[in-house]
Amino acid sequence: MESIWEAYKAGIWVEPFLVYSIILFIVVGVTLFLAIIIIRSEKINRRKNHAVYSEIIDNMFMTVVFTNAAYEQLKLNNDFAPYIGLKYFRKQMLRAIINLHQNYEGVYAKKLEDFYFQSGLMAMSVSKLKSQNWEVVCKGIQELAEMQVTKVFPALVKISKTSNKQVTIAALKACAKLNGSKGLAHLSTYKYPIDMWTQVNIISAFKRTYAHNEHESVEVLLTSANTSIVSLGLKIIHTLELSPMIPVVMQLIDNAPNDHIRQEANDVLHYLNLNKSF
Amino acid sequence: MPDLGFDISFLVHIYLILILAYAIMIMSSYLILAYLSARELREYLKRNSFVDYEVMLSSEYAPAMSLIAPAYNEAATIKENVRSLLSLNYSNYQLIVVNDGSKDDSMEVLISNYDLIPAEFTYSEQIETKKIKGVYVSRNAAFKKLVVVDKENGGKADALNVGLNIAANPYVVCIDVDCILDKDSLLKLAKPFLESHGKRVIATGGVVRIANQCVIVDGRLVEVHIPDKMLPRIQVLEYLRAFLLGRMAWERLDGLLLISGAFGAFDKEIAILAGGYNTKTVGEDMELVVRMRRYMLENKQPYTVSYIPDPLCWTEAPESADIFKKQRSRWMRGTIETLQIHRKMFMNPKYKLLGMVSVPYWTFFEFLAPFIEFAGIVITIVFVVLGLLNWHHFLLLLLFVYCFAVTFSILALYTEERTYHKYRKRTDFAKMIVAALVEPIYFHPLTVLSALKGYIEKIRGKKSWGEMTRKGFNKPS
Repeated sequence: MESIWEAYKAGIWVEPFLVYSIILFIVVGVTLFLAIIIIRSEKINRRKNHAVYSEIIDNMFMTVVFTNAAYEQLKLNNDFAPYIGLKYFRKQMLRAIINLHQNYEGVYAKKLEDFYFQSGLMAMSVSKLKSQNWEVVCKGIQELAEMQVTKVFPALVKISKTSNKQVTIAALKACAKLNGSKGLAHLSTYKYPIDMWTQVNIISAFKRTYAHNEHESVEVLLTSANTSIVSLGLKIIHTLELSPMIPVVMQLIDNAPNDHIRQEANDVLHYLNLNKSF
Repeated sequence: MPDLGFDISFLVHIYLILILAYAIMIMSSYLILAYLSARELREYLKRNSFVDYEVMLSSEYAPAMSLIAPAYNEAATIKENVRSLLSLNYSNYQLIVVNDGSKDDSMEVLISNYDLIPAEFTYSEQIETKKIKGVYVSRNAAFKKLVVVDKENGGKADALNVGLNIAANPYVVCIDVDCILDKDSLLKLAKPFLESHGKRVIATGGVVRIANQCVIVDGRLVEVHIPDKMLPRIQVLEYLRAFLLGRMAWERLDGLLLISGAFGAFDKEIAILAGGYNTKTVGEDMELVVRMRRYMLENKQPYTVSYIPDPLCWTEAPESADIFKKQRSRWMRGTIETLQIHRKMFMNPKYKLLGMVSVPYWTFFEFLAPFIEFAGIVITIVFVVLGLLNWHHFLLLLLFVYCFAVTFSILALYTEERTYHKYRKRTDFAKMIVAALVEPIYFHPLTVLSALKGYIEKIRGKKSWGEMTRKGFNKPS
């Protein structure tokens, strides 16, 4: 300590301090510069690979969709076999099948779902649910929901109860997607408040899968002790114009947990009555 | 050493220690902010990769917004600019163009191109403004979102206040009419208002980037380029440093004082309760944010200010040194005026982080930095004249500062590369590296000079904005 103080008093610290700092800045600067070059070249390589793989994957899925080829057959096909085991290729294949599935319905979509299962891509998605990284979990949820893997529904209900907002949104959307209005019933016991953004996302997912006369789960939402869930239920009733729910909304007005909910319920009731009269 | 009749070496020693301490403090603050910013940016990008903005497009619960675009002598480009603003991806917004007493034929261009007719428009003048000559709406249903206000000239702040009075929606987005907005910019700007929970989101800001030499088609940015000219090119780098390595950190700390006047959204109710834009300052954008925050703190209402790091708004940077100096001297005057108006907040624990960190940071490192740098130059010259300068140390110190500045710029480029990767061409990257090397010896002295000009103008009582000539965006050949 004394030697540092002496060096400070004598002023001999200035030069080493400046010299070492300059060296440090130069080293950091050059390292960052090299890192940028490496990142750029990696991106170029990835883009090249992506273009090559895209063509192969497109051909593969066209074969799956239009020729009834099973995964076991494709594995033996010389056009695809060299790539099927590659890690990056499989990742890209997974992304591609999810995108493609969004554009197909009926028998074609079913063929893709079968391929998803047979190729082990589904297992890749399921394993993501156990990841420590929330973004990996979200990815897995999205993939499984898109591919209609209904057997993961109980797992998604469990996951949706996490405090991580992104995971909650992804899981609740997936629940609605996989199980329609019944997919939301469990929300009535949800303990965290959900913000407007989450509500908008759930409503959007619910709208797509809603089947007429499936009101029970919406009714259950109105009985929740969590006021944000009650508010979500009211918004769903409003968005889907569920006139048969009028008695339940009236009941809520009488027993509203607070003024805000009472006001919201009144607005919904007013809207439904107005719609009914037209 | 000349005999001055007293031991000057002690004073020199003290001076050097103070300057070095200041330099280390400013550099450390940059590094801390950069670290926090990079972390927050990473988190944001992760979160954002799962966001489906489309849900807001079809949702009746998307916040209703009013875009306010003040226009002054914009006849040459106003038709395209308004068209571009009318075609944003958002279902629930109105566009209010406020013609601030233009001397050119802006109003005639708008009337003829958008089939405008005078409208009976009732509104309450909650903020006092210059007289409104007329309010126009379009006969054409395709332009039903458009409202044009013709008013007497009163400056940008006054025009924005007119917009605040007229806006029909609970959120207002204040923009420069000549900016190029990303198609999804409103969706991204609106999202934080939906996410508020417990705390009211009173304002949201977005990143502004430089569009010089970029290709614009029909009011949309289609190709990103780095400018060839050194001055705008370094401004690209400067904006990257400020937005990627600074503002995200302030957002994380909840101490953001500035939302760019070119593009920001506000909670109309709070903006009006706080008194609207201050027409007596040229830094009205910063001043409004500070005043809104102050209002919330003084009224003990929980609130936050949000910030979106995505490049949502592209603007034209000055290409000539003269216009650049005018712009920067105005920015300095704006900073001085805001800090002066809100001096009560300085180191005042009542204003929490804002009073104890944000305002002191702006005071010491934004307002005082150019003055301290200038004083350093003067004192160095005095030392040279008196033969007191240790050239060896002096050159090392210069190299120390230069290396830090270059490294920090490369850090900004690295962050851009890892995140948005907008500048993809190899030539663009090379241009940016050259800019990073040149910045400390060309651009930085120019900013210091402009800031000093700002001090002088403030002392002389200058109030005006000064003419800001714009070249206009590139069109594809």
